[in-house]
Amino acid sequence: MIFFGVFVAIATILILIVSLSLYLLVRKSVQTFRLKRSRTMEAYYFGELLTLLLGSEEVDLQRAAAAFQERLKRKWNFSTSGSSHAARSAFMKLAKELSGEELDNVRKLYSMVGLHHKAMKELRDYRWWKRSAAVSELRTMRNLESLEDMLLLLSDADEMLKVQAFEAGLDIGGFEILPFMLESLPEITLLTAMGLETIILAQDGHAADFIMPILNIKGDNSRKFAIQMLGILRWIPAVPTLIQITTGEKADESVYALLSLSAIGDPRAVHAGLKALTSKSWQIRACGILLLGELGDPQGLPLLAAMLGDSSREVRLHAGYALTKFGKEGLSILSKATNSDLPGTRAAATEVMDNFNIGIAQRVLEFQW
Amino acid sequence: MVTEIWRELAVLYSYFVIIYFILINLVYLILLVVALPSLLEYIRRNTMFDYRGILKSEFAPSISVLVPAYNEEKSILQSVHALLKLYYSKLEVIVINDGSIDSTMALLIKEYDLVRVAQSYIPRLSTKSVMGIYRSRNSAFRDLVVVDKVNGGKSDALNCGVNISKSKLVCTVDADSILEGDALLKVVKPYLEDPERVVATGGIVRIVDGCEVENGSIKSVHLPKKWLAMFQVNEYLRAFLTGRVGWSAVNGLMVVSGAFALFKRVALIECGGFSLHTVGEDMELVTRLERVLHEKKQDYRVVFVPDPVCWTEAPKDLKTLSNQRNRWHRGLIDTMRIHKRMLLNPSYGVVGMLAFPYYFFFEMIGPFVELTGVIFVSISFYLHIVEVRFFILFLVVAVLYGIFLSVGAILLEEYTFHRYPGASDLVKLVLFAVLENFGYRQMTAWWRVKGGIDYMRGAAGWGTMKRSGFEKEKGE
Repeated sequence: MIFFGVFVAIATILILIVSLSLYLLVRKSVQTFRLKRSRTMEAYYFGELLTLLLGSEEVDLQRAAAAFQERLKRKWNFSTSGSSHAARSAFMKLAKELSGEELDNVRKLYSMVGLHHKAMKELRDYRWWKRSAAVSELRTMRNLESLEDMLLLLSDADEMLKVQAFEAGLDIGGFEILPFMLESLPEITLLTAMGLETIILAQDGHAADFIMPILNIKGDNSRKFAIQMLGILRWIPAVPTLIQITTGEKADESVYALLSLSAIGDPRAVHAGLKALTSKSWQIRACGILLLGELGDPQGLPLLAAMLGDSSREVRLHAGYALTKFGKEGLSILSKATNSDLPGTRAAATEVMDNFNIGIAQRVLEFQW
Repeated sequence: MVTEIWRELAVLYSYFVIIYFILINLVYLILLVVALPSLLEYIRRNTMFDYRGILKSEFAPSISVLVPAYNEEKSILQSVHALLKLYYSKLEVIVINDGSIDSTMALLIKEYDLVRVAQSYIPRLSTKSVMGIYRSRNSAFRDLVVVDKVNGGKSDALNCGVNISKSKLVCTVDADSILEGDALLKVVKPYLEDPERVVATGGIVRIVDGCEVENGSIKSVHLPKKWLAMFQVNEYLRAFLTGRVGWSAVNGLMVVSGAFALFKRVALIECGGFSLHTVGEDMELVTRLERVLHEKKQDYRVVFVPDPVCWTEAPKDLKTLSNQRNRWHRGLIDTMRIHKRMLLNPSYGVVGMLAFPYYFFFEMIGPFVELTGVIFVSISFYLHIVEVRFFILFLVVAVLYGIFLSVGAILLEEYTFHRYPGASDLVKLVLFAVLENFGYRQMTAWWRVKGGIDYMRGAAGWGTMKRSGFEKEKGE
């Protein structure tokens, strides 16, 4: 009897759960459909109103704002989610469709009717997606009033939101505030670096001036980011600074500086490359070789030839591939090394020569920087 | 006398089955409940993130996609074509021909104009010997590396790929699977957000049968026409959208599917790579990785990403399916045996105290209890020890709960990714969620029990896996 009772109870509960799930599924579908329709209609009417208010040739923004606010106060009969939500959607939609002066008017009107206060309040919401949507809205509307609050989000626990706030802050405040924003940012992480890279590359080369001050920021990742970014931008004025960094105490910064110098390809960096060959770190030696290979300066040849006898296999291979960039002279050195008495040198030279002969030499480097 | 003993046993076993039944279903329910907010959060994050930033970035970590291939002549070219087209800038595709005896290697050499290169092989992880490393003369395929090695099994091939790889991250993909174009961008994102802690991520695997495939890409998504594959669609939805999402949410994920997983290469090498001595190499690796990291007191995360889709062929006949389930269960038991010290060991955190016991008591022992429960109740019913009402109610409750869990997974799918667009698809999914309780579930339970018996008897190996290639899916 006990079993029977337990099973009756379980069965009843399960039937209830299954029925409830199905009921919730249907109810939720109907609700979503109604809500979407209602929101779409509301946003549509607000959009129509906005178009009307901003449509005339000489727009009186004060009057338009007053008219819009009056409509906003009058609740629409079919409102389900609050008129301000629909109004904000209408502004966002319009902002995406317009450009130039029309877009400026939409942005001004948005602030004049005070909708940004709602979004700014949401920047402090406990739900990250609310904060994220608010950042996106204020960014689209270029709302200067929200800049201070946006900077607070740079310390947000959510990495993605941090990047979003960073991008929004730069869009709103202008690229000039980059150093200030970086100081507010606790550290540049991988995702932030990627977001920042996108913004910087979109600046058509004007951004490099703002990257140099990042080298004075304490955070290790921030400095590494700046060093790499200068290489990506091929920023020639940064060459002396990068050369200086190659002799610094931090090995990883030296490596990145040598790689950036390789990307820039400025002949002033030859001595930095030659000096790197004497480093204790094999990574620095290998990057020095890469730099000398890229620069193609003949004074590097004897030292590169000597590096074929390096204790590190990676360094020997790097030296071999760098030599292939020096044409006949480099190949002659390499060819001689294939008969070297030293097995390591012989193996590296043979490997490089074999691959060079089939035309795919540069693709077989063991290490990816 | 015998009936009396049987009656006593029946009462005792019934208590055990009831408690077990309640516990296992409670855990499933908790996983379902935990999975829902996680999925919704994922959807929101995904829609608000611009993946183009990763696509173009110089800061993006390099990824080597490892494709072990053994006698894959039917699908290898399509797979490689599709992988080379993946959206990711720092990509290297490493195909490891694991001593195929068909024309896999010849097809690759011809299609991609491969030439053997002089490249030293450094066995950081020990593997069977490598006969040659090939690259294409055509610079359009400069991201392709093909390794020809002596046959050593899937794990050996993957370890060989890890040795060849130069990248920070390695992604394992089965040669008979298709990745969606943006799958790598999505699966790498957890690593970008937390590069220090994230050591492995895995994506969802779905059944390709019924979908329209063209040149290694999915053109349109449809449900399979065949009943066996339909059951598997439901199973996969339940396993990935509730199980994996739920465990990932509490950082207790113990398995990422080998068909599509991303690992930090250094972490993989440090923990010894893929094991050659188990058939469940993906689960064993993740468990070992977690064990090693816990023992080193290193903070880590293994993340499941529910959106990057890997499409795979479903076994099309009962024999192949039973082989697959048998192997999966042997792999599970093996992992449990190798890492048994993690069981209920608080030093291993959530994994030791929750995930491992779940896999041990429910996933490993579950099929035995399910089958013996049915057999016991049936015999007791026959001997008039169990009342008819009890017997029927037991079945009704078990079936209803099974339906509830499957419908729950379908609901999650419908509310989140909604990959099967038609209304008829939804009806079909629900219909098969009901039908699978009448025969299919019991059949898979038997295959798993048989896997357990085979394991005890020392059986090894993968069993036969028939492949038909993707093109047949077109207009199936």
